Amino acid sequence: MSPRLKIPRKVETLPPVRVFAPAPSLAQTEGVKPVLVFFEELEAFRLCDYDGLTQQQASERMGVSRPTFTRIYSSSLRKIATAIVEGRPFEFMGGSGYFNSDWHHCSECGGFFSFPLKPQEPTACPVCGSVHISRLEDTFNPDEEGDYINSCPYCGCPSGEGKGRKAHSRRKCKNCGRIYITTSD
Amino acid sequence: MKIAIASTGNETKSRLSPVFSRCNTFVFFDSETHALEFFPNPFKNAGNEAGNLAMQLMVSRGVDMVVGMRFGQKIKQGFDSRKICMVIYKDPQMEVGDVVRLLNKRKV
Repeated sequence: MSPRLKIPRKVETLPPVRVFAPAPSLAQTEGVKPVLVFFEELEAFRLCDYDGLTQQQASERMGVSRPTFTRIYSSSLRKIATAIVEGRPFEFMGGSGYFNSDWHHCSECGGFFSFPLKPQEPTACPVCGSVHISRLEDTFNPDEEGDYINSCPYCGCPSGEGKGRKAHSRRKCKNCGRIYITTSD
Repeated sequence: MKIAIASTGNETKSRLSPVFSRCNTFVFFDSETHALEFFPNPFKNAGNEAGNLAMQLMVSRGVDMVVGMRFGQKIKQGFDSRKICMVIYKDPQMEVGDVVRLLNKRKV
């Protein structure tokens, strides 16, 4: 039986550097294997020790349970301790994290935009440059407002013939006759 | 800064495409030279993974911002980890020229 899949961990910031190494004059870095620190481990370390959150709050930020968060956090501490005690460099990579940015709304041009450069906050709309922007809730889903999934991508005609009414079904447009797939891609 | 706009046609009067990765044409706009490039979408009729392929195209073109009407469920994580900003306009009457006008206005 294959093991259960890991829940993807929400990671807010990328590490500022890829490798964190001891000073080259003091350590012989050649032939020393770096310690691989996953992005979610660095995130757990950052939330708990840099931002000063409790493990309960930090686990909610990363979208995992509190016991899972504790495992990620203790693994990060162990890896960092290994690297410091043995004088090895860290390398940040991989893991099962994903990145997610917040949605913002511009009231001047009416657009919704994401801002991936966390932890900075946007100061102006990236399209029109207006400062009248507001941050939307975490639960905001841009696909829920307005129904464009069932319309023809060529002419915008809303009605199509075909099997099924859900995503990934083949449709034929009544207006232009072209076949398209209703998809979430 | 390079901006990609998902369009239904190859002129500035074309409307924004309802589906980003299956649009007819990608319009690449360079905010420094104000140049527009109309690029036919090679993944328009791709069976699967059109979003992923379109994202790889954006990354290879060095795009910093993508503009569309609707994006897929899985594409946001990819754009976020590549630090590409996503902009969504819900207005179905929005034209490519309107977006370009807004972008030009910002420059001034």
